Amino acid sequence: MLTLTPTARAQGTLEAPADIAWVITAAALVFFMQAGFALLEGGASRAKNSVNVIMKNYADLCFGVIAYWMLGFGLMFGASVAGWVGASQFFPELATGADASFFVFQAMFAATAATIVSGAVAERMRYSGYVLASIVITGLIYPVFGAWAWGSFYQGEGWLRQLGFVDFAGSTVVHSVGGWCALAGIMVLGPRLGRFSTAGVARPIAGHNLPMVALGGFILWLGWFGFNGGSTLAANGDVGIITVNTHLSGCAGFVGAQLAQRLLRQPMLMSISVNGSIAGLVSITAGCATMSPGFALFSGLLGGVLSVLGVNLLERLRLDDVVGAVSVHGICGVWGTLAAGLFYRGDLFDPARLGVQAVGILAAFLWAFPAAWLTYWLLSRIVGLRAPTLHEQRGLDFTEHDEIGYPEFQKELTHGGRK
Amino acid sequence: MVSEPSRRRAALRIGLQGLHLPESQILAALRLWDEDYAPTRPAALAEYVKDLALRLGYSIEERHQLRVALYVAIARHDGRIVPATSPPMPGRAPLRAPNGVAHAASPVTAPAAPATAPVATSRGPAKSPAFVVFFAMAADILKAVQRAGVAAQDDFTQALEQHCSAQRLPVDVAVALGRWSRGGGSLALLATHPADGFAAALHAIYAAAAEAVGPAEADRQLARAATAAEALPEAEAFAPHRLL
Repeated sequence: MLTLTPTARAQGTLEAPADIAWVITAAALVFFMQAGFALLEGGASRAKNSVNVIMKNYADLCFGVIAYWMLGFGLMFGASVAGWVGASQFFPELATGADASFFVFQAMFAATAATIVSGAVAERMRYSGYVLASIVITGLIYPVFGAWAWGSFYQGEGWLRQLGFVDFAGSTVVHSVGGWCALAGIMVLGPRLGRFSTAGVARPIAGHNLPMVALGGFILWLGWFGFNGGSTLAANGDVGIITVNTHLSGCAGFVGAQLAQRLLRQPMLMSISVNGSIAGLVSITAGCATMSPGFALFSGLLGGVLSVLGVNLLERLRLDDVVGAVSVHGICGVWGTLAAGLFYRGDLFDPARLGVQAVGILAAFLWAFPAAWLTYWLLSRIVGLRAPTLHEQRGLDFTEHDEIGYPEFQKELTHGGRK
Repeated sequence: MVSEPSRRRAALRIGLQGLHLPESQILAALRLWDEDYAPTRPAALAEYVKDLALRLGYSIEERHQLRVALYVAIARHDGRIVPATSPPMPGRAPLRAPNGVAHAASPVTAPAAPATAPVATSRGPAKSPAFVVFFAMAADILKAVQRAGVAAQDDFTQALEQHCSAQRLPVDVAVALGRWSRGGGSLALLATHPADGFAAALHAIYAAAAEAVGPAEADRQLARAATAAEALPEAEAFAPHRLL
């Protein structure tokens, strides 16, 4: 096994057993977010594609974490080469409790970034191509940007961090990067069959199980306490205000989405409102440790509004994002990162800080979007990404996995076992 | 091909009774059959159902139940169902394309039923069970598109052409489907085609319907069409699921 020379870890982090215990607990909560994504995305898809969506979430966690252990972790947290990329800690041994718990926590983040894509591209992307793209995201795209913003756990410091870029738990590093990858995916794939009329009007394609969507939202919210709270990497008092801010922002996101729907005279949908709460959570992720509760609430509120506007914008552009992932994670990730700069405690509305935040946001887009677009484009040419229309008719559960999520109720999809 | 009129009438009565209609409505329904259908077009079951549902003020769902009930009754008590074929009907307006232009009726299509009851064929070689099942499902989907309006029908026709090409259907089949989708052509050409080709043809129809009325509605109609086709006697020889 290839094990490069371990590098010294920054002093003072994850040394107390309580810190390790807290970070492992937080990692478990972030792991549980995968269940939230699976339920939310599976429920928002038609019954005939539910197994496929959940398989993709599962694959993100399994293939993604292996890729992250082999390559991604080293690129992100290895000894930094001029602030651009790590060059050690590949296939890491993780011999100490501190190293191991840090890896587990970060690996769950990497899987989260990748799994954001699965909801956007649901119901028409082939499984094999998806898995390969997920490996590229967790092994390369996510870690490289992560190295710029967070790469200082071992030796050196990422260039964005050196500039003073603030993204405490990953509004940009995790969510925007995932959102831009999702945007690239849906652009290369194209919309689902019949999603837009010839006049360009978006046709709603209802998910098969909205209670699953709501349960997924609850589970994601629960996981977010670990996502943000665990990013302290220490069991200390900061976790308290981080958790308060996280929760307030999630609540305000829900309210913001409902306000936006009301003001736009749209029906007040549960699915969109749940998305609003997720948007609120994304919007506070960057600034949850450096913001006062009032600003956290405002960040979430505007995030909820933006999530609704973002979905409408994508529909106007004829981009088919099944769960609104680009809006919730990409656009609200941008807002959350700006908000972290605007509402930085003790340094409110500092234009210089805002400028650094904007540089980080732009860098994330300029790296993640083209890299993901190229990945999907190459995969579409080499292995094939888009499921044929016949598979859309039959549902990817059967055509990709030979399994049907609800066989008792989907007898018309069984085909007598024929492909 | 059509069974003895009295046997079919009896089967219809059983089907109507199964719906728990009042006796007066059953009698009125049978009178409609006796006067307008039995003498000249005893095989035009789809039209009879439509006509009857209109008189009873049924919703689309109720009409579907009526059709299933009558098909099942005939399958059990009469023994055979012929896809909707209609002899010439005096006084009928010529078929119209979605753009309102009347088609010049060909010798085959001249006696066609209105656009809401697409014609399989009035003459020609014996129809395979696969064709009968395919035709029943395709006609159900087309009817749903027609209900969505002229614009949807236009979109359907255009999309069908593209999807026939994408599915690499033979040109003659694609042309026949195109004409049929406009309400002016026969699918007689397909009657003796091997069963293998029908799944691709039905998929082209589904995909075109998805483009025209949206995937959610197309999914619903495909599932309903498969369920309705299960009531056909031919479904025993060729299960509708084989087309999905």
